[in-house]
Amino acid sequence: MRFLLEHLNTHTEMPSSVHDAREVLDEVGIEVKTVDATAQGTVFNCELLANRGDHYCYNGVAREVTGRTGKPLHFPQARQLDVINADATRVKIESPLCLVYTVTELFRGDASTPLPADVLAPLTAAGIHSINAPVDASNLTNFDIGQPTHAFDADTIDGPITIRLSRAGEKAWMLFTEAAVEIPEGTLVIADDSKILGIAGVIGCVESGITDKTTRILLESACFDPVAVRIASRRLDQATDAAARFMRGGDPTLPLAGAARVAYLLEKHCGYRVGNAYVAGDWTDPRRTIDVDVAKTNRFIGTELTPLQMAERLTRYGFAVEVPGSATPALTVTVPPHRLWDVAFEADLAEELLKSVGYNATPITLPSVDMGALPSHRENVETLVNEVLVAEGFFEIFTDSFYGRGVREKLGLGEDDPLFAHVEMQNSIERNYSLMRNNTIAQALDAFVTNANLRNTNIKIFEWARVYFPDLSEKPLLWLLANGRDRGPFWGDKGRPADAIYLKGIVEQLRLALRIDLQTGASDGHRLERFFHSGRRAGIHLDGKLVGIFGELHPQLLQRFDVKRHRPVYLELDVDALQVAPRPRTYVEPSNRQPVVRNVAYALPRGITAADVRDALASAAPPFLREIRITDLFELPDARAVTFEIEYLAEEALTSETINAATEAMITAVKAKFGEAVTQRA
Amino acid sequence: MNNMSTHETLTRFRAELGAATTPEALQDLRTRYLGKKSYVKTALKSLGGMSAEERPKFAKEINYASQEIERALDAADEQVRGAAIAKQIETEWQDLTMPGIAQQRGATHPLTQVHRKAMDVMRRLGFHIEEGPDIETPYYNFDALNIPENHPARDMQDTFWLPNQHLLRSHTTTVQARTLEKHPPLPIKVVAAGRVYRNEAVDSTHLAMFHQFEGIWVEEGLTYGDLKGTLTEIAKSIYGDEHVFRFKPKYYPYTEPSVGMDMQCTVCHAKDDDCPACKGAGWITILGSGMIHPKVFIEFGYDHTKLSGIAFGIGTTRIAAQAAGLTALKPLYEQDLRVHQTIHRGGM
Repeated sequence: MRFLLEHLNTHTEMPSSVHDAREVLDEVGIEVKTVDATAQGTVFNCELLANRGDHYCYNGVAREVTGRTGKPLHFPQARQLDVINADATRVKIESPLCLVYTVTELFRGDASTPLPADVLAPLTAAGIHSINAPVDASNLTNFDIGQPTHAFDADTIDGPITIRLSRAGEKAWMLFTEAAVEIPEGTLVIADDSKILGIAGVIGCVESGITDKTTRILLESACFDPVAVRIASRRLDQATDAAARFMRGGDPTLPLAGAARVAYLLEKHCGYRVGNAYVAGDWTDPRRTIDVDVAKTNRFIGTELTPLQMAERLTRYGFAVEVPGSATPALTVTVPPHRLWDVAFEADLAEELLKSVGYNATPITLPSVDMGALPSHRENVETLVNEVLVAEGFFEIFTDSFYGRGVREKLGLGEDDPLFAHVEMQNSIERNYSLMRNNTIAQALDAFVTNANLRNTNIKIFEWARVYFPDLSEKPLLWLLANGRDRGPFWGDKGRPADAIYLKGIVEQLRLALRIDLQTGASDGHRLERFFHSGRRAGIHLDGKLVGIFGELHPQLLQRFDVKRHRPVYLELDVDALQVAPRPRTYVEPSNRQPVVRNVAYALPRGITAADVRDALASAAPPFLREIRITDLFELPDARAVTFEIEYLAEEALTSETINAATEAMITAVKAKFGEAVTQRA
Repeated sequence: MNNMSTHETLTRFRAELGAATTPEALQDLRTRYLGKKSYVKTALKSLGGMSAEERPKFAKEINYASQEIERALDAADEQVRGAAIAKQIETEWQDLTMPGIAQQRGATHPLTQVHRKAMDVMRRLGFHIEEGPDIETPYYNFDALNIPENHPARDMQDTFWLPNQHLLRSHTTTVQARTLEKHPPLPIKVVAAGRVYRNEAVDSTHLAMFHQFEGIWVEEGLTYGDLKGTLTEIAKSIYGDEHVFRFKPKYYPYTEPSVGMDMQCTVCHAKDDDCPACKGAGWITILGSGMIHPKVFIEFGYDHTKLSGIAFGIGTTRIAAQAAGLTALKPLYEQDLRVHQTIHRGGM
């Protein structure tokens, strides 16, 4: 809301400099976003507290300032009205959602004139154009004291004004709209015997609106239930100033004051004559009281106010305070009508006192802390995984938790595919947010494509993500994608491809870092299995359960994402499954003896794996075998040459004969198992 | 050699030493002049057959020769080795203007780094992390937090609605509600961090998904001063000791009093009414907080007259962007790896 500093000064004395005036507003929670110099004066563009309807006017803001400064608060001049209780021939309130309703008669004089420019300055400064004298006076009054009013052309009203709930099928032609629309049943409306005159607290209607020809006005000034106004405003998509005020809770004692202010402006400046004011409604002030424990409140907010000082500060905001005397260390505070909607607890009054004293004027303390806390196991797992991945050159990214419907087609998900069903967003304003993701492959590939299009094809990325399922459950997972080389690229070290074997190395590093028994093996049954190249994928197992998958992405999938000439690899791990206790640390004293090594190489045809041969070698191994390592791989036209390095170590000295005999036994075991299929190479 | 006199031996040694320029040649000299069959060793063995008059004189002469040869050989050794190393160094020149080769580290996301930094101080204060779901019910996201249906505060957060009256959490305060509901032993010191969602059109300053870091501390006797003290610790841990902070009234439905925390503008230090960074405000809001609202305590069955609680929430996306030197938030959530490499390497 835009406030003219010079006009604010008429409500309370503001600090003399713009800088200080801005600061005092900031201090009381009226945040000044920008300051504009206009023809009318200095305009503060303010962000108001969302719950404070009473702030939506000059007097409300000024009241906050007086709470802080102690300067007097001035109420704008108003006319004394002749008030009469309305009978049913004039006003009928049929719903308790209308708290107070008044109509005041105003008669246009023969020489009606507009409001003077200086009076209109607050409206002009706020960018509101003058329409006609009654509307301008109504707008000004709302700006000044926060009481919305509405002018009906009295000659268009048929019978008594009735405040009631709308009926099924009823229509209303709201101001500034093209045509009458159906009003949702149960909306609080102002009506006469034949039509709806306005939506209570929101907007008036065209048929009863004033025109240049209007001579008799019925000025509505009322207070409605905030929830009823909010529902109507939202259902009808009418975000008016009146609705903004009422939906935050109006002041039920203010309608007559509002009418009196409008009447004053029109009578003084525009030649209007003022008739009677008719009042209806049985709202009574509940006079809510709150006891304030002075010592406790002082302790809570960090002040040393006496009961009298506390009382004086609260009265600045309009609270009535009883100070029983020093024997009773409690104040009895009565909440004024304009604060009934937001003040109900002692803590609410503590906040008022804090604003008055100043949020920065109280001491800063820090309670003593007995003990700090350690990271949880989950945090430790995340830290260790991050360390492994970062050391390998991976960058963490965050992708959206949702995507558009087009992902189904890109992933090739038919309607019978288990991944077809998603949690569907009901009201997203962006098409790309239609579905909550149930996988992260699509976004990982999108990320790859983004980078590939930028000629950045050596990428390693990872994300701690969640996926969501139609039963509204969700699952945390870790995914990573790599493409290009496993390291570099460097001028003197080309590295090797970041392929599925590389990801297997990552799994092995994670296994060591987390000290959990992650194993790689079959990927059968993994929900993402079909997205991988069938010859270059593997499952990740932990304690017999399939907890992840990795490998090269399926060429068909890559085609759908328009990935050419690249073979990105992807890994996914179930994060919950990693939350197992790590193996206890064990230490085996290294032997002082030198190990003995023998090498044996085999040509392996397709279908026989290195692990098969390694297992066959191990099946005949002597007790002093320490390890069988694969040290080389050479691709032949129709086979692969694999070199196994066999390491022996014993506490007693081993002779060459013993070693050679053991190696020969292992070679024999391989021959026995595979026959001629596997040939030993020199 | 044994027929030579000591003088002749030394003379000859000196001549041969001058010609020995390799470690191997020096070792050969050492063997010949100080080894088992050398003149020195043979002469020493002959001492026993000499008369009492001759023996001391000859022994002195031999010892002198032995020490002289050894000293000269040591000096020559050092000189030859030095020359060899100098030659090695000269031939082993590397062009160190070539780029270095080492596995380049990646990096965790700037948001993760901000979370870690904040958690460091929170742990010192005894806080631990709790997690909550992204998919929530309106109860935990709104009603339990004193945001009833049709309350204007619901307008503050445009909500993504999901089937069966579920929604995507619009703040991590949901974790606060879930924690209080469980009634853990006092004091309750919990931090929640993660993604939150707002159904907004995305631009440079608005995102549909961003990150928050939130905490509550519930205990008897906590005060507004404690809130300020805790927030100051957190802010200093994230931004550094040199910054100036202030507090101001705000409105959050789940706190009373509600408190905003500002950091003095690092560009104009609150001295330029036309500062482009803070638009003349002099201050930039960094977090929202407050004392837990009595209605929240009542909702979960706590006695609000005895207990009090501190609650705070930080939009870590903005902080991470500031720390990374970004002027917009969106790049943090983009997958262009050049952005992350630049952030991580600080433009180096």
